[in-house]
Amino acid sequence: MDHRASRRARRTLIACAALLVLATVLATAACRDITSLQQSNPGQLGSATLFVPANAQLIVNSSQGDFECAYNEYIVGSGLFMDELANAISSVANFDLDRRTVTAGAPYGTNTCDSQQIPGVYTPLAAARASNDTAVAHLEAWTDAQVPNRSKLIGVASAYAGYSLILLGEGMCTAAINLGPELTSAQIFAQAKIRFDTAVAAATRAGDTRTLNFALLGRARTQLDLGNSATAASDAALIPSGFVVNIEHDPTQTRRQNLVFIHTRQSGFSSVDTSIQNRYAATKDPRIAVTSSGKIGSDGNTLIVYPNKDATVTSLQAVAKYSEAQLIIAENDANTGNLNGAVGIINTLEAANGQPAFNPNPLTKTAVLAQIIEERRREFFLEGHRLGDIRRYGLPPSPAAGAPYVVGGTYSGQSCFPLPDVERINNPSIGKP
Amino acid sequence: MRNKLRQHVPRKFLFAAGFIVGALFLLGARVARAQGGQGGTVVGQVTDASTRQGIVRAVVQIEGTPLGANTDQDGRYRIVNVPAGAHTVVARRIGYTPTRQTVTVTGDQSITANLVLQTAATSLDQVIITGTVGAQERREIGNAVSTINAADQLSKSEAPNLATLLNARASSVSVVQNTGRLGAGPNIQIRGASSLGLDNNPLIYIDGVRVNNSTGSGPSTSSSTAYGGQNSNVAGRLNDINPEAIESIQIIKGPAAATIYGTEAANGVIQIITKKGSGTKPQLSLQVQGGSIYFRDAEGRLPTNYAKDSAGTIVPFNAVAAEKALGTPLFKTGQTRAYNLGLSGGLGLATYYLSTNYENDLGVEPNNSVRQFSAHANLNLTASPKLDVGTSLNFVQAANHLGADVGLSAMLGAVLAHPLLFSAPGAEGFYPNVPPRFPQTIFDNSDGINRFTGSVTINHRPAGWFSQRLIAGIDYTGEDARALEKFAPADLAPFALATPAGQIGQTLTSITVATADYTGTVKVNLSRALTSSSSVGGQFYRTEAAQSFLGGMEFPGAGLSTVSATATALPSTQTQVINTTIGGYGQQEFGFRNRLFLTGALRIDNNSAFGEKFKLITYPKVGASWVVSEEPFWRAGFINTLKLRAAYGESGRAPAAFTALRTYTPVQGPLGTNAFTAGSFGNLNLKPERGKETEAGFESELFGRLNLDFTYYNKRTFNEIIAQPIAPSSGFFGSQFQNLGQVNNHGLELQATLQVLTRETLAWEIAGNFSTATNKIVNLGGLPSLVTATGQVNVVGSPIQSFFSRRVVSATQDPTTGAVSNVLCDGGPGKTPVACSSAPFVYIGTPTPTSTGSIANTVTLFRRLRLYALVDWRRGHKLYNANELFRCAGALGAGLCDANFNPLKYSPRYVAETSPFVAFALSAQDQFIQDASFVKLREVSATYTLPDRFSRGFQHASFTVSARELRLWTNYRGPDPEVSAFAGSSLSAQDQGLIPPLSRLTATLNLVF
Repeated sequence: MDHRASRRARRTLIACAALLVLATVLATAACRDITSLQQSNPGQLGSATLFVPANAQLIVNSSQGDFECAYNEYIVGSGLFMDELANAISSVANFDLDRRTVTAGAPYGTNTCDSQQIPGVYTPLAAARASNDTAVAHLEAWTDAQVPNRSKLIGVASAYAGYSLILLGEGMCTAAINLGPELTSAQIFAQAKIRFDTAVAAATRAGDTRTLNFALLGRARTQLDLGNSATAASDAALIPSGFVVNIEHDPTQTRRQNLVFIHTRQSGFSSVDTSIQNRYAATKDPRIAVTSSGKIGSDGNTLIVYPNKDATVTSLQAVAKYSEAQLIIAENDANTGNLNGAVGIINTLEAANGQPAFNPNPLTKTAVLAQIIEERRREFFLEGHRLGDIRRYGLPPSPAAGAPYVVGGTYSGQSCFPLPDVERINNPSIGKP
Repeated sequence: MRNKLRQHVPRKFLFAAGFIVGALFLLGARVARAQGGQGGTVVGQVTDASTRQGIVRAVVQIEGTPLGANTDQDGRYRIVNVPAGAHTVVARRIGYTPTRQTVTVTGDQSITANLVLQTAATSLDQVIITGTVGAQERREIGNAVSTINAADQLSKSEAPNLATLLNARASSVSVVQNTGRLGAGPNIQIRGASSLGLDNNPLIYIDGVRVNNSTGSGPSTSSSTAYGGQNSNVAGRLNDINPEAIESIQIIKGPAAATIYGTEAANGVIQIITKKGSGTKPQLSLQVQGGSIYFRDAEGRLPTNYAKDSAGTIVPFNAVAAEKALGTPLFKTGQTRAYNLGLSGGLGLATYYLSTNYENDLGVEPNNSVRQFSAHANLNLTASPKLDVGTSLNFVQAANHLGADVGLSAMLGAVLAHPLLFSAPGAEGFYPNVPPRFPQTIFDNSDGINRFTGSVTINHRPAGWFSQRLIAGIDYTGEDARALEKFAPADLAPFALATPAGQIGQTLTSITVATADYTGTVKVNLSRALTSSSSVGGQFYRTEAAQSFLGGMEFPGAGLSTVSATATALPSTQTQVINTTIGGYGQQEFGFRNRLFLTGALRIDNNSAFGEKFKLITYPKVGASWVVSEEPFWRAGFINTLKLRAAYGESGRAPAAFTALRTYTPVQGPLGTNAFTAGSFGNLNLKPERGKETEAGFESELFGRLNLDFTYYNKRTFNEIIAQPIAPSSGFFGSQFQNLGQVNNHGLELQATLQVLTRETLAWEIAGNFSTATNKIVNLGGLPSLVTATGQVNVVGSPIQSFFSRRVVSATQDPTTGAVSNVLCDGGPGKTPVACSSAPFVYIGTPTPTSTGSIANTVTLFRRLRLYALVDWRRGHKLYNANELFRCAGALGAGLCDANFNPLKYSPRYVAETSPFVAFALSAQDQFIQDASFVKLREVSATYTLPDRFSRGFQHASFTVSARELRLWTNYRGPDPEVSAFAGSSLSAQDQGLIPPLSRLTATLNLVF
């Protein structure tokens, strides 16, 4: 073999060996990896490491956040459905919501907390109920040694679970819990009361006055929904003057923006309902103050009018406040014949808002209850009470069923959101359509 | 100030590229010196049998050795260092039948071997890329593979990008355009759609390396207040690839062929082979192209709207004509300028092909343009007769401005315009009281790309019976996409629907696809008649995608365009996805007398997106090919060649990343605290979709001039990943992904080429293809097919993403007023009509064409003048014409269509659906889901090759005039049926203010020095 041939052979051998080594390395790596390929999402939390005692505060913050987002969505969804907001855009789903012609497959049932044009009602509330219940379940399984402020956290999460259930009961015709059977509103309110009982007990143990009052007022509202105004009033009477629990907002986080602001001022999806506009024109009541934008919505018909109370993307929204407790007491007074007591509460609120005193002649229970309803409408304007009030008081929907809708069709008589298909079809405990 | 796009390619890539180039040159020169003078030289010319012209880029090889060269512009080649002895020289070129010639080399002499190639669309000796190492000829393969001779097709069509080069040139390959705006990238479907929820685009490889094939990318705003980003996610990575650098494209169409490509290959594979250098003296080529881009007949294709004035007079309004009359044309004539410089040649045993391309196109709107620079280097080194190394290096830098349509845009504004409806001062009647100069001036959706694709291929033949190949490469894409709403000047500020102070969203994306592919093949002759080829291989693919978004609202003044200049920051987001596939395969092929071939293969894969409890998947394949025309008994003389083939194979589609994981999403909690909320429900058992395909067909040549390639395929895709909704009371929401469904596809494909005339003075070739594609959902895992609104839905028994709507079937029309009453809708199959409010949503049509085809004619006169025209068509599909729905059905508060004012001219059914109540409240919209079938005169060109006496100093000089998108025949009532909003999905089919594919008229000068 000459020198050149030998060199060539050596080169070939080296190349062969190199490729063989490379192939072996690759094959070894493959053998090790081929059955153990795993993925992890650096932008998401895995469930295995999340639900541990060290994360107790994080878990409760999260479940509270779920409620706040759900409440934000509910305010707009129920406001459009009833007579607080009116649709202003050209969207079939929004027409249905505004016209009260929603079907069980409509987006109110499936849209989530980030939804803006068509608010989610059922899914955000169901998720908020579940995450707060989950938080309580974990907290109850842990010990005080593991979670130093365990009682306080149980109180907070139980209270928000209770409020989630209140809104489910007030807004939904029926609902479900934990893939359980279909529940009526009364059954849901009963579940809410259980959460508030837990919250009251836990907050009392923890000495957490704010949560205690929040839970008491929630329980009072639940009792009112259950038709027990006397029991409601006794809880409401414990609420101190000036008490309020708000949800706060963020200017940029979609989930935490004030959705009334987004829906009306920013995006022109909706306007304040003309019935409120008319009330404000007549009373100049600051609780329902509005401002006209002068712009017509993309539906080509609706003048967009803003609610002054949600003037910015971070305007606070009250979940529970002293005036609610007072009006619960007033309602019980009216029911029990203490009409002057009720009128006194009403006039305190009227005076605080620069309104003339309520002085019916003759002073009757009917007149006082009617004024309480009117006070509640103004006091809790765009605070998630109106739909529940319409159902509880049996008020006729406005506009009336059968009235023509601006882009066609007529308003229906719906007064609650039907259990959505997404729950009915995928919940094994509920009969299929 | 114009928004400048800047991005930094990781220096490591540039260093790596530079290192590889330098090392190869040095090594090449060294080896050349070391081996200089060894053996003789074979030179010659490869010519076309019919035109007698030299064939450029034919591959000439000394058979059985790695020695070879590509021909230059005149068809000449030179192969050096050929060992002494008798050799067979073989010349190959796509579209021709290979030719062989025996030569005897003695010492260091130069031997001439001129080879003449016959045109043949179906050459059984054509080399096909199959995933195994070494040359596998078409005759051996049991499945259909389409091949596009890119250089030839490009010279005829002057296709401006890869998408247009692919379109209509291979059967069953549909390029789905989303919008005609420059910079938009299309989706591709091969044999229609077969996945309900995953991507239906094929895999793309460049020189053996898997590359980023994403669609629907581009800027976004993540702000509910942003309007500037209207349909901004239209970019796609397909058109990053410079068509001038492509030698050929091979299309592997389905699981039967793509088995050894494994998981993710069920949609087919597109193999792009770039140009290689030739072993002759340096050859410099220059191409200069210029031309215009225009919106053909915009005035005629955009609708004329109608409204009644206060006097009751019906006033027509055409926005294009109105803007023209104002002296401010809505769409200007854009321009295209492209320059391509190439250098190819060889240094000893190293060959090189280098090219650069610069293109700057201006669209028909001022905020739409493309500027792209690309560089390509292919270096190949024959280190020894047993070892050769090749590199492929591509770099692309693009700065595109994508414009806007669909929503708040000049186009939609014009489609829905009328000054009686949109009467705000200065709005010029445009919807929604926003003049066209607002979006055209204020909105800038930019997309900056830096992309590097590089690979090294090592072919090693340690023994005559054993060869192995290693390919390693990387494809890196850095994208800087910005949705900018500029600070509006005083004259435009009143038209701002959100803040006139502007806003910006910047999306930074980097996607890296790494490939390592080893294959070894043992070929032995088991007997004189029986051959065996055994291959094993292993592949590793890793895709890492990182994306971050930052943005802000309200600039303090004009001229600002950075996030840091805004007053309010938008929430930032960041995502990172890593997907890894590891797999291997074994394949065994037996050949009998080089006429009958049987192939079996098995692939095993794992993918990181599979559920934790699902480890591996296996895909089998069998195929058979029989060149029956070479059998001794063959007597059918008019059938020159006939190959029968059949194959069965399986392949998969991996689940989307993270869908198998149960996760919670970090969010901001109360008072800005840390928090989380329910995210994905996950599925530990999630596995890939599995496609099982059988195909059979033939390839033939008849009468020496007609080539036919026919295939019938039948594909069933099991374990379709379906998002099953979750009951919200569980605490989770959205869907859980489960392997539940089944989709069946079938169709046929016919590709034909006819050499009508092959005279020296007149050559005429007709090439055509035709295909059908049908898909049907067979199973959705028991999920109910509830259709509750008009739209695209997956329903058992219907094609994927079919259109469903309530359908008006009868109405009574007042003979005087034209008003309709007694409107009844389709009550469902076999049922009587019912009131629309209680009518079911019925099947209207499929978004996927059921048949596609094209015919191209090429006529060459006196070997100098070549005339070319391509007509293509698609049939059987529907497109949702939201333009017409909004105009005619009162979505804007009033109807703008002629039917709204002259209903007696229209059918009662159509008039019924122009009622907002019927169309929107009752959701009866079938009149607006329209037949999107079309025929297009897609390409026309004339090329004149200058005679030698006029091209002194050049090897070749030619001049081409070409035009695209010249004529459209369709019943669709929008501007063009070849559009679709929502570029991320190839199945979305909605036209809403979309710019149609733009026409081009170009002149191109080609010079070779």
